[in-house]
Amino acid sequence: MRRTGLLYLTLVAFVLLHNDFWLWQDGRMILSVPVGFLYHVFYCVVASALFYLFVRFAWPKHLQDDSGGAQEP
Amino acid sequence: MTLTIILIYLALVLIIGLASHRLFRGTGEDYFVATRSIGPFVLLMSLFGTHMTAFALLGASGEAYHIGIGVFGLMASSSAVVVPAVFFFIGTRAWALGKKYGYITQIQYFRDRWGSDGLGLLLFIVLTGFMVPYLLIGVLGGGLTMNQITHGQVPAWAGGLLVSIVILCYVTFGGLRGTAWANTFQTLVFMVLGAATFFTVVDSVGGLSNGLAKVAEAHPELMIRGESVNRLMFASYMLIPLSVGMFPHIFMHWLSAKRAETFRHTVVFYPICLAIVWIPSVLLGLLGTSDFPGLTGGAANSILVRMIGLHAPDVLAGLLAAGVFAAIMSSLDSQVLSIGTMFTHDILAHYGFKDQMSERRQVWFGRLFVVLILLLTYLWSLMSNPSIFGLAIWSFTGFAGLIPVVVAALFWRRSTKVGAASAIIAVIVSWAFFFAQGWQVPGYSVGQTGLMPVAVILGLSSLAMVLGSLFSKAPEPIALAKFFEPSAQNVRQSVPLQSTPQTG
Repeated sequence: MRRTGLLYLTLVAFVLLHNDFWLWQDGRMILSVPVGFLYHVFYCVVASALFYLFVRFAWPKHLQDDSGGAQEP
Repeated sequence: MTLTIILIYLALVLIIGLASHRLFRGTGEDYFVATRSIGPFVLLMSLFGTHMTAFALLGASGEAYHIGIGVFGLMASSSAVVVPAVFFFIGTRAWALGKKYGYITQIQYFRDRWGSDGLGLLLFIVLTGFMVPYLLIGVLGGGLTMNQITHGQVPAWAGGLLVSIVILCYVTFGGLRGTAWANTFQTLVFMVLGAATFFTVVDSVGGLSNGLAKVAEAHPELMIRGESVNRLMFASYMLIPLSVGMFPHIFMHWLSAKRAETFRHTVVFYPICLAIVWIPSVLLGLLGTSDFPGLTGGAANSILVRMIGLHAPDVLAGLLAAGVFAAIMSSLDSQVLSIGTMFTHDILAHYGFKDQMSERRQVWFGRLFVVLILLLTYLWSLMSNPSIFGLAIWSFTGFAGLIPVVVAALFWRRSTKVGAASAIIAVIVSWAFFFAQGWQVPGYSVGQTGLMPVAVILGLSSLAMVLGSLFSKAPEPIALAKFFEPSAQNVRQSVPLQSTPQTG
């Protein structure tokens, strides 16, 4: 439970980090691309790693148990 | 040669879609949600292919051409965190409820959750209304690509018509299984060929460093966010990908999953897939400013296709154009099918035709409605040429504004049908207000502050949901029992406390 809470907090912090205002006017080229672009490419990679942790440690396991035979809507 | 390759590709997609018809079991559930049998890989590919439209390829490169690298952060990396989160928190729960109660559309769930017929009808109208501009993006993109890649030999109207007919054939016969199969194939095609396009063009311009150095020299403002992307706009744009939680076509693909665990791969790999598609799109849009300077407005939508035509040899150009078609069609098919599905289940079956029609007949009526909607969209595409990016953002804004409805349905016991209806009405009114003010203004924001209309619409719909629910009668516990575990408070009230075991 504590681990899940920590993951939720990390997700909130990660969402805030999307706003890289400190790189707004930075036109430096790193790895052949502008740094402001590279930051967001890495952001995608880190997002994937973060969601791996969610899937590994915060998966809603109870959902599978609820999925018995279909009833009429 | 280019045209021949495109036609061969379209025939291939058609064969795959139609081949899935051999597995058709003749039931509505099989046609509309593939009997909930889709595995992890096909779910990832079909969801991703469905989500990525002409918007991701043509719209993104066109917008990068105008405002530079900021486009990637505005839509790609924001989606990389928001979309998997929506799949994780909402998609898995929607799937579980769909499986348990046999839902095929999201409207069935909302009707059932709040016990309201009128709410379902209201949602059908709103969802279809927001979906039509989204369909238009695909038809416009198909026509544009065909026209540009054949250097004007094939008119745009013929390209749009061809795409519509191919989709119509495999959607009407293959249903969701055909769509999922065709989408998987097409997603792989546009990811691989998108990368091939990128490396071919970059090689032709003398390498990425060289190409971007030229862009930086001529347009340094495109290499930073600077003045072209307002900070408040950037932050509020992050709300737009929430739209994925209310897209009817995405909801339908969720329901097709075999198990809850099927979502795991999609949640983890979605951000990587996004990066694979958006990196080439944005960078090619930037490189295009050197080769094709001076494009204005919607004309920049064609920059990717122009770059392919200029830098790729004839055969490769055909293959790469096929990749663009793949992206367009893999979304258009699911969108069209979802509208047909909603019409069949939420209108035809729900309003008394269920007993008068066999399941096969209902499926045929769904197909007929699909033909009608595609025809109307196609006719609209002949009359307008708006910016693909702009059109998509307005459509996404509407869907994102509705997100409190699904969040409240899944997580808030106290929410009521009055709250849900208030939220939907708040979205309709506020969206119409902003659309009337800003649909012809490129880069429109609220009072030109940079704040995207989606932030205000979402705030209003959330407020309407909360106030509408709190000021209406609380739902009966018996109505909630179907959707929620009994709360600790209810358990305490209904189960007598056990006496402390005696010892000794």
